[in-house]
Amino acid sequence: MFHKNNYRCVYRVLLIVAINFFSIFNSPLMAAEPFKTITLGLNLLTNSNRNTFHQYWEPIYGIEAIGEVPFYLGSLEGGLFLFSFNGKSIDYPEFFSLYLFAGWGIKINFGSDLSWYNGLRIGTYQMRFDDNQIHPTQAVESELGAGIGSRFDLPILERLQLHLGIDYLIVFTQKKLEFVVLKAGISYTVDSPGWLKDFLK
Amino acid sequence: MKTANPYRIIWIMFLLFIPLNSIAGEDNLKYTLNREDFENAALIRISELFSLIGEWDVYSVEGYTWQGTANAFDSYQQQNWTIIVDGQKMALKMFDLQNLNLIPLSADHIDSIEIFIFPQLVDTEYSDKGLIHIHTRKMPDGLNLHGQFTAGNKTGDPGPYRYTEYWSRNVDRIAADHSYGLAYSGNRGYLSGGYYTQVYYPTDSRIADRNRDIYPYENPRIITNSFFVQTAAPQIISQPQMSILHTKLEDFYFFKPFGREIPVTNNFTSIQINGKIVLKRSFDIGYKLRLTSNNLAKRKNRYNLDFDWKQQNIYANIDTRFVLNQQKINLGLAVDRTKIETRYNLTTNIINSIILYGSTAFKSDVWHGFKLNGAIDIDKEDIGYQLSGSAKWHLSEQQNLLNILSYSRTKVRSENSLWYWSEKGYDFVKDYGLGYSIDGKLKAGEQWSIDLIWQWYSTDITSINAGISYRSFINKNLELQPFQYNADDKTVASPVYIKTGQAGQGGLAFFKFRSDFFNSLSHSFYYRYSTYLDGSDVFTDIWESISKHRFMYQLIFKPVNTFSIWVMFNYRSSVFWSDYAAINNQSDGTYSAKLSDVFITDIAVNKWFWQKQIKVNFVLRNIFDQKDISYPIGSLQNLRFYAQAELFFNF
Repeated sequence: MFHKNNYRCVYRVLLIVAINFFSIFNSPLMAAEPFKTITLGLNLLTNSNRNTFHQYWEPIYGIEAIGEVPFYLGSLEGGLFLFSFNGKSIDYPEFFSLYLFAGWGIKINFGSDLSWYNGLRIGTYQMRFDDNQIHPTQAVESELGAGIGSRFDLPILERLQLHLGIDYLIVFTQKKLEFVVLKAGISYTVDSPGWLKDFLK
Repeated sequence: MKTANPYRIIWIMFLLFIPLNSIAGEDNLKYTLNREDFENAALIRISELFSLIGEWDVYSVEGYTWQGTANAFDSYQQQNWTIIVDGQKMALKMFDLQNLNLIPLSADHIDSIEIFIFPQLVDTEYSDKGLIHIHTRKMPDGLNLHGQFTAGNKTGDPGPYRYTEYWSRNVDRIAADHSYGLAYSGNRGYLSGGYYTQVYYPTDSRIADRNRDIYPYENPRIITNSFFVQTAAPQIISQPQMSILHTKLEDFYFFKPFGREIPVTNNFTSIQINGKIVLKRSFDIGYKLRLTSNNLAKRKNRYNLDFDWKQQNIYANIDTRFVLNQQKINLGLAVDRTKIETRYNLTTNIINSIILYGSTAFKSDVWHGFKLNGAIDIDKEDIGYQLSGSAKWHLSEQQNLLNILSYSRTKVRSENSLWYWSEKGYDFVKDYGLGYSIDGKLKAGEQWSIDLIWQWYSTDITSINAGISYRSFINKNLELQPFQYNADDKTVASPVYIKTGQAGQGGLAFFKFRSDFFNSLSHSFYYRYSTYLDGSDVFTDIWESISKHRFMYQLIFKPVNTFSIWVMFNYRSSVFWSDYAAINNQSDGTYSAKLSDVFITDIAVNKWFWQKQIKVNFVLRNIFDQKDISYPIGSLQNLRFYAQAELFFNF
């Protein structure tokens, strides 16, 4: 009854959920105070996989902006990433994509330094095609995007961390788009102001 | 062909009643979805409430308008269930359609929903086909402002593949809704108003060609604009409550006799007042007055089709409730006048009815309880009558046995069917070249039902209900329409054969479980098996369109009161729509009369912010992207998602 692709997607999601549940019982984050801090991060992205889509388009480097707060269990994140793709011939116009997402994940701390974050993301993946032949409203399309991700965080200063991670993203177009994205960047953690904690709670 | 023997059923009813000479408290004959239930499920639109009710089987052609049947009391052909808002019946039914989208309330205006799945008198309305009672949300004291904004999308857009050999059709949005409300509540009274707009594109690839053929001017879309005003003055002796409701629905009405959607503008207006005068603690007199107009008017379309149909209804009611020797007694009288306005010359365009109804409920330590309901509906052509009784037996502290017995005879006029009015001169079907024939004279349908239910409560938080039910139908008027497919405009067509005097019997068995594991986790399970037992060929063929097996499992995780995750698993077994038996071959497999079984999983994540003044929902329906089609030539309801924000401020 299930489509083969959906099985594959479900297995991947279940795998990450299983890892997260394992993490829960090994993580001090269960006791974290929700919304106590905000971590703001910036990552550079590169699309590393190749599939049918890449026969037509070549990915350019992307950028990701992300905010993360501790939740009652694990942490919540929200953000966006931007990517653009060049067509490999004039038949395939260049397009720019914006993925607005929300996510949840669990971080496992290895001692006081290195930590490993695993999470799920879901959001809307907007594509803007550089095509003068069609009506401007048709040049923009939005579709559901969902994925899983994993990253290592290494503190380099008291509140500054270095990231290295990998994301897997599915965009639920008729023929699905699948991206494996490698990322590296930095993030900075600040204490949440009281009004923001009240708002988020 | 076997038919039910009424005398045998009366005898069975009598035998069952003797040992159970006791009675059901009213609460045993209904259940309630409270605000938290559909907040957790992130109900997007009012018509989606069916998705939370296991006893209701539903289908939709385009995914916006849902038609249903409750607890095996009917097939899908007659939508004779009842919908009430704050004690007032909504006269939505027009021909074979009862469209919940005409109710001018968005989901954020609802406080609770009572579901009645057995024949009984509810407030002042007797229903033998199931009844839904919606209670609107009463805001806290002070000035209240609220708004709700929803965006929804179906997956399956072509994306960049539109430029490649993997091209596919674009998929339009399924929600661009917004609603607003303003309410003032104080000691002396209550005033509330609201407005909403909903937009839905009936352009799924399976139905888009039909709709673009008949509506080639722009991308087809359904637009609903509604408003309501409510006021109440509880300090006045008669405790009046008044409402004005209006909806303008620019719709694509799937008109089965034509085998396609017809663009229409449906205007629904209701002005209603009700209240009660409490004379003594044990005696009060209630009153209701309601003026309703339901108009199916023309919306621009290529074939110039115009229903030109306006139903105006005046309903007045007086109702007494009193307690006499430990018996609760309710007696009422209603006058109902319906006037039809159309360009066609009808032999009758005004129908006046008088309805007498009553109920009595008796409770004592010995007998546990007993309730009897009845109603008589009289007009100059015919008489309809309904009778039901329910009894409850306390088997132990934790167990009850309930039985509900009913009989009803429904006037042809009460069904408000297209064929009744066609016989009266409404020649819309004939005018546009489609034929129909009625096999004899339309008959008043009769229905017998018996339900036996066992209830078990281990604690306040765990309950089990299980039961079996029997239904017998006599003199049903059923439609037979062996459709032929037209590949040019993707429509189907056939003359309609109305077979009168059809009879049959059906039954169901169900099991229901609900438990709250911990404060933060609760779940419920519902399974039902439903089938016909006997009947004419037309009867049994039509019943094949209802799933025999149905189950729902719902899990709610709410670790804190500002965050919840809701998951629903929903299964329905395969069905066969006999009218479409030829369509598989004729459409080269695009459409099929047999719709496969389907297992749907929905997820909703809700988070409140700012002391519950802002709520954000993210909803995924059919997350495993199963082939969910509920009507042979209807749309595919594949993976879709909604994002919704709700604001609520109290000053």
